[in-house]
Amino acid sequence: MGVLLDVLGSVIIGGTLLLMIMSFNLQMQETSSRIYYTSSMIEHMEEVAQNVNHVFSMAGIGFNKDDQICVTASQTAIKFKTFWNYETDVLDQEPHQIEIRLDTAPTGTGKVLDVIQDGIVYPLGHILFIEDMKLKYYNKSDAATTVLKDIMSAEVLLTFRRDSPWRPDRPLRSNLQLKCYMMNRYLQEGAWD
Amino acid sequence: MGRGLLIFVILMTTIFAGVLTTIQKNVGGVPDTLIKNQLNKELENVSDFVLRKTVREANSQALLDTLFQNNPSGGDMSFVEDYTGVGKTKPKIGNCEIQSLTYSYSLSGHHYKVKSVIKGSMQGIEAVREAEMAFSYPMVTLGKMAPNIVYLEFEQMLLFPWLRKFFGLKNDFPDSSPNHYAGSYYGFSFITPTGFDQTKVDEDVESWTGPYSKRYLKMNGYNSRIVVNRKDQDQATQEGIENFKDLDTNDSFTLVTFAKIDKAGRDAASGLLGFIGGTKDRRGKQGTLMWVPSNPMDANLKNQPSAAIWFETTDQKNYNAKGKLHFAVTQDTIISGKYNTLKVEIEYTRTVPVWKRVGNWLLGYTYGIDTAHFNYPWNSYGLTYEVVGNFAYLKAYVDGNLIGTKTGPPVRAYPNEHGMTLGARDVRKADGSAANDDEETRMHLFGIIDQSGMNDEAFTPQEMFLWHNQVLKSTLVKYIKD
Repeated sequence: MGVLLDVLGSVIIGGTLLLMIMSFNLQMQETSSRIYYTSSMIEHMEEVAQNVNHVFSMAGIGFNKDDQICVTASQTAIKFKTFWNYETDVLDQEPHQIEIRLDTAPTGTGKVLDVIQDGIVYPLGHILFIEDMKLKYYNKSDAATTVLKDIMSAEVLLTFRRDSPWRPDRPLRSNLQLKCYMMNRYLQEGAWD
Repeated sequence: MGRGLLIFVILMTTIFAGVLTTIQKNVGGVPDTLIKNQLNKELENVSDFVLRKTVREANSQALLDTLFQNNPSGGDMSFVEDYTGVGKTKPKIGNCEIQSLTYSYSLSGHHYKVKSVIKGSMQGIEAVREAEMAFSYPMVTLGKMAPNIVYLEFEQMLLFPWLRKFFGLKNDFPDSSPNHYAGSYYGFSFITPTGFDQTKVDEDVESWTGPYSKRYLKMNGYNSRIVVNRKDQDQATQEGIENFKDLDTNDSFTLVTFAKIDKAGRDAASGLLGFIGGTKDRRGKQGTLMWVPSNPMDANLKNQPSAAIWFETTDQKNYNAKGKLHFAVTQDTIISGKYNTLKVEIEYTRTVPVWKRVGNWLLGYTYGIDTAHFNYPWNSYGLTYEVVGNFAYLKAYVDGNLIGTKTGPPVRAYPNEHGMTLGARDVRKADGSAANDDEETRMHLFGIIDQSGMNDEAFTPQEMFLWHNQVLKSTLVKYIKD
């Protein structure tokens, strides 16, 4: 009887310890996944911000300050004129029309952000997990505007959706809000003339 | 029981090890991300600092003087401080190294762009950042639409050419292409053979050597011309020219020039006091734009250019503004006992009053530039020649538009050994020496000329159109690429 009690006691104690260890392990795993997820998303969003900023900053190169640069500007896409060539990242002799928009067709890793230069689509496929993009435009005085000629910057709200590493059925969403200035438009407007 | 426990322990240990490995893998990536972000931030700051410093130095007198010594004639120039060579010390700021700094100028110290390449490395992670900034940099120099064999832009004044000739100095206009040909001026001009377009109040378009604005070359219709002599590979090597391009017509090339052809032609002028510098009526002897001779000493070939563009006055009675434009290429093949010439001819009416007779009966009459021509746009004339497949194609362009095509057998153009002449034909005596400057068979151009050149490939119609528009609208761009 004494032996049975000893065995039962040791099983309970051992089981409790094992459960504690297993619980600790799972918590550790979840914590590390959270850290990994967060850090990788930070890196990812940093890269997205750089890419989007770069495209916006090159709008209007080679045009006069009085020229209308924006061809179209909606909540989901913007098209502008520039002598910069997106494909080669150098200035060209001929002007280009560059559009940045979110492809509506979802893929397994989110929607693809497209840069369209003169009708040719250059998908930024390496930017993953994008679920939505909203654009809002501002003029030189930082007041919201929809007048194409006045657009000097845009507020870009990107929503990223990624499956949770610990609860795949409950996706996580991260928002990136950045103000992209048409830097080279400001340059033409500057006091260098 | 003991075995069961052992298996249980091993199983648990395996699961635990698996969990630890996953944790290690996940957490291990975090420092890399943080380091990369930190490095990018540092790189961005260093890049900004270096670019600002480069911009400041680009306009410093010391740097400009150094560049100016190497290229006194102006034109486009580029200067790269490359720190990546063997034995070179790369300037270092924090974890970043400056790889190279590039200063590019076009025409003037005010038209420049700078480019920096910075490399950062931290704990095994590397990143490179390039940044570029331009100040009043002409768009036309950014792309490829400029002739690459020779390109004469006539932005210099070339003061008192007769005096320079007297002292044995060359009257050469510099070539903007990297081949460093020169356009030698022949003829008479008292002060300067170049004029200034007063309608272009564009202070940005200054030449390197002074406050001269956009200039063009005056062609007086009776003795002025520009000669571009060929040079060989040995000479180019001695001059340190890399990727030298020979001034030759082969199976693919382009000739282009801007010009305004006087609508009336040059009538007789009595000259100063009625007898100094008087000239005959040359209205019927118009008007060569570009002439690449085949063999000017050969009686049969002297009027068959290797490649040429010229205007012909067709009404020899009334000398009205109508005439013909000719675009011709002589092929290096004999058909029916004669070298085959491809030619596009179009009816062409001159519209621009470029010159006008000035003076009076007492002091005599001479010709001076008519400022009314500022009200008329520049015209461009070009031809391309290209052998593709079973045919050779000669294409003629006016104002960037294709106006005619001729095809022929797929052979190269007649080899050019005598350079190129602008504003007149290459006419020679039997011994090969040049005929007199005012030899009327030169068929001088009476007008003005600018931006003349030759390219080693045939421009496409699109490229020709772009070239035409960009020279007319030499957009000055300021930009930051960061």
